Amino acid sequence: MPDPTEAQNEQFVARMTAAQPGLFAFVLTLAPHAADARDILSETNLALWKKRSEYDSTLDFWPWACRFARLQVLAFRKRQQRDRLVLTDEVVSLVAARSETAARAGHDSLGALESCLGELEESRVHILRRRYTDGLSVAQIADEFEKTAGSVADLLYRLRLRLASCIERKLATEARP
Amino acid sequence: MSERQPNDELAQLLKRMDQAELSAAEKAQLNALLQNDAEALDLFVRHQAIDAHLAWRFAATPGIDDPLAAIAAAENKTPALDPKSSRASSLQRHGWLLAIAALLVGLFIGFPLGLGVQSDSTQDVAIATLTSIGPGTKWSDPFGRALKIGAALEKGWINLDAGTIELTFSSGATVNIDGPASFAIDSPLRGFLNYGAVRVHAPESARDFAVGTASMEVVDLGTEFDLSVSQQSGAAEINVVDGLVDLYLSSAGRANRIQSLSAGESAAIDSSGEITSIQGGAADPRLLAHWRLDDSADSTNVVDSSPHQFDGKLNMSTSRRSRPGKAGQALELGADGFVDFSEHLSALTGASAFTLTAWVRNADDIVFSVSDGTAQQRIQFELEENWLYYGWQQGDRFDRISASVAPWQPDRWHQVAVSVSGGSVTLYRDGRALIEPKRMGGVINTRAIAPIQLQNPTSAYLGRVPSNHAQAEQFLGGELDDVQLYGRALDEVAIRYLFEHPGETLPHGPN
Repeated sequence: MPDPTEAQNEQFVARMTAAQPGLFAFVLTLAPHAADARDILSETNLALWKKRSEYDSTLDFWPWACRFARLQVLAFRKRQQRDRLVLTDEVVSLVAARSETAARAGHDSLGALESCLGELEESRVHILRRRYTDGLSVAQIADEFEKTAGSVADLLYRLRLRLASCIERKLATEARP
Repeated sequence: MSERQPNDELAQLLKRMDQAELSAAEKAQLNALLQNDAEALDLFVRHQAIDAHLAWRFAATPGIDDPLAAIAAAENKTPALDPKSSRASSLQRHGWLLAIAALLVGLFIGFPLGLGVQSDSTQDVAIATLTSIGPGTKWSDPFGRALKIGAALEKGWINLDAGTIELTFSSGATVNIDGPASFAIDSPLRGFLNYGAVRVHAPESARDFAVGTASMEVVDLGTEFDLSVSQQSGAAEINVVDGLVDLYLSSAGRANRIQSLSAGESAAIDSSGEITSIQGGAADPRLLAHWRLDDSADSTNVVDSSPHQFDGKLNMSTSRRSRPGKAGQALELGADGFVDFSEHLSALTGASAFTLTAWVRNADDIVFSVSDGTAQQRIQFELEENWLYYGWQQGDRFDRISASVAPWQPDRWHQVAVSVSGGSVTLYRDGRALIEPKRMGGVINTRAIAPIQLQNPTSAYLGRVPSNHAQAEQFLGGELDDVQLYGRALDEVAIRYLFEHPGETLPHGPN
């Protein structure tokens, strides 16, 4: 197969770029540790790039990319000790089927998330930053804010559900004719 | 009648997953829920998706989102930092593209350590200040040449051809960069070294300051270290000048690993994230004490075989009773014997987090205690029939975390362990974390404390707690072997390792 032209490469990278947030979400549902998911996404990206000449640009990029991500998840699981895996093979199949549809809107969801974060109290955003930007554990955040780890885990859980609802609401509004 | 609440069950599991590795039982519970309950499956997917979006949105890693710029970066034409340019932040997205571009030109540039979309609105703030420019400094770009001492710098790249500059991050960390170097300012607590050499000093305010490289993340635990990355090979060298660092290694085809290094130690890491050499000690740097309890029968000395040599004194009304133990000999403390290491109290209890592990047989009470000798300040680790406890007393309040266990088997050695960090307690038996620990007694909702939080402690014992207003003097009541004390909270993997390797300390390696 001939090497892709520069224009084709650029178009391919553009599609990969757009798919990144969704792919990350897709992988994180199958490998529920962020560090693992990052590694798997990295490997998925490299695999996609190596196989870019096989991609038919007239077809939907998302399911094609998800297949690669799924294969990388399986390869990752093989490398792991069984007792470190969170989900069983059967459940991974179930989750993958559901997540492929749900994560597709990843890029749009990020846009909506930005808007939803703007509606959140600054103190809550600060806690999210400590968790996701600075990488603090729940226990470390609890220590910093003089709360119990359980109450911080509760708060983070509630914030995620609140933001998920907000994103769904905004996407639904945008989708209305 | 109570109905099953799958979402509640799932919520509890997701919260638990946020805090720690799920136990085998919890994983089984999660899988059963997802397999049998479509509603739970939907909630799980929804929760993980928003978790991923937040991780993506808030991630702090330099990258480049313009494919052509990415390729330019891989060819070492990295765009320079421009604090006034909105393009500076837009160029720092999607670290994965750097790797794709790197693949094109046959280089390896690591991106697994982060992916991120940064919001311009939240990131346009000064993260660091240029606090020194050494003689002979040559910048790689016109922008750099325009910088003066005191310049406030945002997220972005610093490229030097020669010389030395110093950055002071808003967190308090200082980074000296020796050219030629390519270094990215990322957040108040993180930088990224593409190539070149840096010396990092992180005071307490900047604890956990991290420097990423292509193959690892170096996390400073309140210390000073030198890090260099070869522009040609991508190989890295790290030398810890003071304190401790953790290396989070990310090599292809392997699970991420953590390597701790302490002052005086150095390590070489190749471009694929493999450690090629470590110069320094072989034990976990945060092993505070290791009492093997193998001492001779006529000795009252209890030797600490760690480098610290925190030897204790055996105090028994009768002569020493040694028995074959789990590893070597064990000490039969019975109902009146204990080991006193109060002499080393300040050194042994100076960590804000700690883990104590021990092997016990035919025991029924106190394993370890630290107290002020009165009824006011105390921590104690103990077992009872069907229970394992960690308790703490401050003033009139006594609280404890307890976990139920299967009955202690007569004449069988059991590993018991407790780790305390950040107000949280984890109890272990035989290599496994005990789930559903409960608070019992006293005033609830106080945070668990470590010995360092006790006021004026005067005594530390193995196998004894002094008498106080609530209880009479108590002892282990059985045999004790191989006690280890660490100045940090070990995780279940580490505890499991110690369970499977009786008598050994945690290796200076993945844990």
